[in-house]
Amino acid sequence: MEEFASGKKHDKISIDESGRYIIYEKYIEFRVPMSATGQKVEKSFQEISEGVQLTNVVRDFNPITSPGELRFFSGILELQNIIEKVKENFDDIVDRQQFFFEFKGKLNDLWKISKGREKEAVVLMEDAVKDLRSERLTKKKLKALERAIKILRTKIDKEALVEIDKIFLDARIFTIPVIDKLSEMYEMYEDE
Amino acid sequence: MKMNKLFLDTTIQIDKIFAYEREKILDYIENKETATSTYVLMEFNRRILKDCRYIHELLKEEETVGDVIRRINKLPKKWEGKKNICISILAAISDTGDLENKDRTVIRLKRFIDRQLKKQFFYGIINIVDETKCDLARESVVEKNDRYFLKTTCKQGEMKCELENFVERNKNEFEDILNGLKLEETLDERLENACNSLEEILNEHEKAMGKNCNKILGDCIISIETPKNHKILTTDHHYELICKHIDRDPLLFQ
Repeated sequence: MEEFASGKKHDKISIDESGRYIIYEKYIEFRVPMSATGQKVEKSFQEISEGVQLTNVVRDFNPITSPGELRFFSGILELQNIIEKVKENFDDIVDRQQFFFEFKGKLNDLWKISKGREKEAVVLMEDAVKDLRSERLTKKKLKALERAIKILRTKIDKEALVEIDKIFLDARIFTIPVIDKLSEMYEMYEDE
Repeated sequence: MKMNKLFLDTTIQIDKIFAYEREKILDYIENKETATSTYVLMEFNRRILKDCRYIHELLKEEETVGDVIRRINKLPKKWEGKKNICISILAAISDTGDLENKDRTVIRLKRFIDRQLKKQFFYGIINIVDETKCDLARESVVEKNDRYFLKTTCKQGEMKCELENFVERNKNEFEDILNGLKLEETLDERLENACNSLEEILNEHEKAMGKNCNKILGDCIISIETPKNHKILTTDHHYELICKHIDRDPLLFQ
């Protein structure tokens, strides 16, 4: 039985600031056969995009080459949209909680479809927000999350993750869990 | 003495990354002239980085996080400390609701070993003291076939550090510490051992290298290598007893 990867058809397309990615908005769901790769994927897009001149754009600017990668990238854009909503509703503690909780849930969705370095990026983001409650969220921390997503929109490599580490630390967002009294334990068992 | 020059020892470096008070520590050292040393880095690597590497190896070998926990729990009693530390680390980094799945745990550990621990060690640090020219601190983690390798111990006769010269240069301060500690009414086991090692190395400086350097004399070496115009920021109360006999000032972070 043919397996399908679900994706999205986007009506509104714009180019990311870096020039490397296309931003798709206002989408409808579609499915691509898993057997489709490379040109076939682009062709599938063209077939379902009806009139939207997607093929050239994909070829010129977008390094996305598989349905999985596309889904991950769409997920990052959704994260960005949710963060935007958190920002817009920052002064309403109830709405802030709703959207920030949604953000955490979206990360879990993203984990399920991510691969390789994408997984590293998702776990880093998950660890950043794991112990961050919406009521304790500051504008500085929110800004840091926004900057991290912006980086992930353009690249997901070691350099990007190092940059995000620094952004988080500067905003006092910790991605390493607390292990309290660890230094004491080391002092205590020094002779082993 | 101005409070704006701080030397971070190994305990505070670990707490800066892992303790509940880490945000306070980072805020405290911000905008201060901070220093640490290659010797402190060596101690840091030998403790936390080495253990993360060990847990990563076990995760490679065992099927699940649960299996690794069970294996660590069976460590012989002489490694009780290692057991407690490794279980604490694993408990913190694994998804406790899903001990069968080790994916996230492995990703986190790799992240720590690959970049985060070392980067965070140097975060907020301006100057690096290199009085001992510790050779182990110059070792980096090497990744090969998804396994990590790190040299964390050295043997007498094989070291390239300058600890022997360091003892020679600072002989008087080592003597002051030894004589001062001897006058204390009570010493705990750690400082008793330090006294024995101090006597040994003052007779033969090269004996400061190897196990003495690694395990027994650490606090004394760090106290002496700290620039005189810096306070030693630490959570280890032993520095109070050591530093009062030389011209150094510890600042216990609480």
